[in-house]
Amino acid sequence: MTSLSKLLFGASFLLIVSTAHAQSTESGANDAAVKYLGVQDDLLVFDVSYTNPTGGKFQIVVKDQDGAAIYQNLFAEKTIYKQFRLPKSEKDRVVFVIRDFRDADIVKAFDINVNSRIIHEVAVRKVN
Amino acid sequence: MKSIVLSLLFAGVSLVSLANGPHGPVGDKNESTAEIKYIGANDGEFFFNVLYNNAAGTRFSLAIQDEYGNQLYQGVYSDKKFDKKFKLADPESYGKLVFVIRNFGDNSIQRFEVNSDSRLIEDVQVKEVH
Repeated sequence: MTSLSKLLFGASFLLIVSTAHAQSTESGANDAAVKYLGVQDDLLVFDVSYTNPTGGKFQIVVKDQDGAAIYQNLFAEKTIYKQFRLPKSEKDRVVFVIRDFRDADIVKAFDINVNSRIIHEVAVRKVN
Repeated sequence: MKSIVLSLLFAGVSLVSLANGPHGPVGDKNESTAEIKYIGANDGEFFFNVLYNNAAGTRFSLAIQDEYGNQLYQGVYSDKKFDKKFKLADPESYGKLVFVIRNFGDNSIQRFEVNSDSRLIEDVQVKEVH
């Protein structure tokens, strides 16, 4: 997938923000989690949650396999939950970075492999 | 005639390795009822087995047509036990195939419709990299 197309896709991300949805913790002083939920409507669905007790500014960046940012935004919510829906290609990597500008970046990378196959259904019918 | 599209495979060709299982014909059967069997697909080609019990040994024709009636193949035979395999090289191009067996001895005609549907299946694996 080209960087341009990824940028276009990045602009079309469906983002759902909720301050009430808590996720399990995985790393960092601040609680952060990135979970792959599966495929929905032909898109890869990822949940990103982050607890930011100080209310300081932080950034979420989503990068493609070339390191190009396909989404980035600044936030200051104390608890954030976002759902990202990404298009899939045959071989890809997506990286989520949560940066609070104080501690080390929290980085979650996912390898994506799509194997395609064609199923044929053939019916023979005698018509006379 | 798009004779290139269909090619006759002589009986005895091994098709054991074909990925999809056979689908039997539908319809009433008697001794002279022909059978068209879809054997399977391999490398984007469809394979069919045509069986016809022509006990009298009279001449008969086998024609294969597309959905618009264009003739893709025609052959005339007189085998008493006809058992040959055919392959369709570009099945995506045809929404429907029609096999017609016309026996010149008893003037019988048997017609079979073959409808196919292809679906793309995607297996997605997502693994977190540590």
